Amino acid sequence: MEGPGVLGAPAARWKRHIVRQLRQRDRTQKALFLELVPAYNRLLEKAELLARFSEELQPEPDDVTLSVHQGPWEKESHQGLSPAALRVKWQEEVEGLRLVCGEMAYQVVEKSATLGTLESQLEERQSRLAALKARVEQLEEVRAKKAGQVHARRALNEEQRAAYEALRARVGHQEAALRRLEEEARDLLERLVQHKARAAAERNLRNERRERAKQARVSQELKKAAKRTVSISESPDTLGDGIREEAETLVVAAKPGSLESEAGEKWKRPFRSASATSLTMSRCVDVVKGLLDFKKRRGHSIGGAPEQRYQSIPVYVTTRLPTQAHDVLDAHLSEVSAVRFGPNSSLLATGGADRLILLWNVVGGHLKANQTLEGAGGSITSVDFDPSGSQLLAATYNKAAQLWKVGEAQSKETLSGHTDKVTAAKFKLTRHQAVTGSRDRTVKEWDLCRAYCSRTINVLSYCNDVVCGDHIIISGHNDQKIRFWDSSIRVFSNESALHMRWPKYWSFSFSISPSSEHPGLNSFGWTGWISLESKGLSRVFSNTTVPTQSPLFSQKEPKSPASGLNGL
Amino acid sequence: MHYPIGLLFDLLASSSALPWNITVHFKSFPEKDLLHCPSKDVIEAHFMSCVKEADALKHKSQVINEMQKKDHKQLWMGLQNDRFDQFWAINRKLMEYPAEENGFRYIPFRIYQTTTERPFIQKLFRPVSTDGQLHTLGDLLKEVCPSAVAPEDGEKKNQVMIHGIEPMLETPLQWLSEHLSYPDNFLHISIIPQPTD
Repeated sequence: MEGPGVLGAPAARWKRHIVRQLRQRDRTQKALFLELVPAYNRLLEKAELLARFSEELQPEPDDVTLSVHQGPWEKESHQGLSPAALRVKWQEEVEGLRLVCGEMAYQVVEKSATLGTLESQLEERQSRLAALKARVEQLEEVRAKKAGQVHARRALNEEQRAAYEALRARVGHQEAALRRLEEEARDLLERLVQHKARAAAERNLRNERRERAKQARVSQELKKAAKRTVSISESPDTLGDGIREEAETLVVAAKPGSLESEAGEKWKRPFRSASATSLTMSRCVDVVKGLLDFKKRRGHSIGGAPEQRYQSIPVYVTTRLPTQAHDVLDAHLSEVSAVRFGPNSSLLATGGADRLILLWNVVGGHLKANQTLEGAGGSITSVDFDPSGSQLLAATYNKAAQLWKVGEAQSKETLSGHTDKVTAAKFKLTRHQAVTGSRDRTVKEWDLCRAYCSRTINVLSYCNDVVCGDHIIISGHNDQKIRFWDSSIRVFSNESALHMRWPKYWSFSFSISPSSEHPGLNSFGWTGWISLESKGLSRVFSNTTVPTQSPLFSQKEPKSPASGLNGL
Repeated sequence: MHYPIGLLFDLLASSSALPWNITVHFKSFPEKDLLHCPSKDVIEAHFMSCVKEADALKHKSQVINEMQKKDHKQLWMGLQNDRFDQFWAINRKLMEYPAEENGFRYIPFRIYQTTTERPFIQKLFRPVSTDGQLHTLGDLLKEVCPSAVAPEDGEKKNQVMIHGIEPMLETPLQWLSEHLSYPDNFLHISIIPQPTD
């Protein structure tokens, strides 16, 4: 056996040489015999077999030279040993082999047939598989589409949810804002109420203080007056003077009031005139005309000083029945019972149960607040401007009438002396004179310069309203009578009462304005629009002078209880 | 002359054509020249003794003595049954050398010549020189058998053959011992006259 040999890829020259040499050696010496040796071994074995066989057979003349070392060896060596037997044997073997071959061939055929069937099955399976795959792909597509739809829906849901949340948040904010506003409103209301209460308390306080001050002053005056001696004479002049002397700048209060009314009563007796008190129409008219006639002067006039008159400015404007209110305003804290325009039509005064008189300017068809006159002792029943427009007279429940200067918020003078609510207070056309009517069944005339009651007219029933002309005073009463009084005479008589079928409204007012047609004659008439109850009236006075418009226009609606009728 | 067969062929019949015709005698055993071979075990013993001798030269017998009996058996069985893997598993250990040295201690070799009466030349020869150079086959021949080596100028008279090939004289001896040793770990080198063809 040769030693371990060849290396791979030798680097050195001697290595390469050795490798080359070894390869060459193998080529020449080894390769030729590589197959020879095992073949020879096999041959050797077979030779042994043959040797055994040859013992039975006769030896062939051909020499069998067992030359191991020679190259070609042949199978002819086998021939020498019993060829016949061998041939037979081999023929049997050949037959057997042929049989085997046939069987094999048959098996081969069978196997190929099964192979064919199996192949066809395989093909069928494969086609089915392909079909199923296609179906699977289809379903996958559908699934993907559905998934996409689901996704889109979810996105939509999210959007809507987000929008909903946003709206909810907004709603929350708005609600919070609403609550805040409501709280603020409540606060404001409370504050307003408190403020108003405080204002009212303040006003009450002020009024009280004023009252107390007045009371104090009056009592002082009374005390002073009580100390003085009084001389009473029978002459009316001196009486008047006497009375005038007693009362100073202030209007007398209750006790002096009684004194005065006594005096008034004394007067009445001697001075009752015998004026006609006819109830017939024509005679009434005549009476009225006579009363109103400037030229007739009966008796002395009160007051020696020449009377100053206001020049009356007749302004006639076309009027119509009011069909709608131009402006509606919540002005007073409670009901409004008196409304009056000032003489120049620019100022409007309203008075009501809240004891305030509010002055308004009429601007462009709307009312604008001008001033508030306070200090009234009770609800205001009527308001009147004096002809110059600078003073304002109001009649109050407090048994007094109060006087304001327009521009001053506090009342300067109070005309007290009535024993019950004063229902009307009007300026006379003569300066500084006013007339008040009251529920104590008296009508009083006042001299405002001296601030005392110059005359008291006793009437038989509640006086509801009073109107003054130049010399005439007309008073409306609860007993459905209108009474006319001539202020130029001293004595008033009931005869000049005019009975009207006048439904009882607890207050009504009327006013007189001078007409230009008959200078010197005050005329009045009733317009047809006094729907209330004036049917009888219109007929009655159809022959009176046709009335024309009046600047004095009541803004109260005719239907309200405090309705008035305007003598136009 | 219990030499490996390849060696014998190289030595004696390298020029003859293969297959080598040998005459096998079954009679008149030369009792004086040869030892009898009564059984296989003798051959095994002879083989093992050669291996041990080689290892003694290479490793001071350390490696071969470390091996167990079964390893020795395995060597012989591998050789006998023509099982190279079996053989080489053990023989590889005999071919290793410690890392600090560059080769065996001494190279086990025998140089055979037909022209002399001496059976072979075996001497102590180191593979590595004192300056670290690896000795070559040429160095060995010059040292041990200078007559075999042809002088530079003259024609080559002899062939140095191992395993039927003629390696170059510059081949390192250590390498030759590792790779071209016979199964008994010896480098059997034949010096034969140059063939005239």
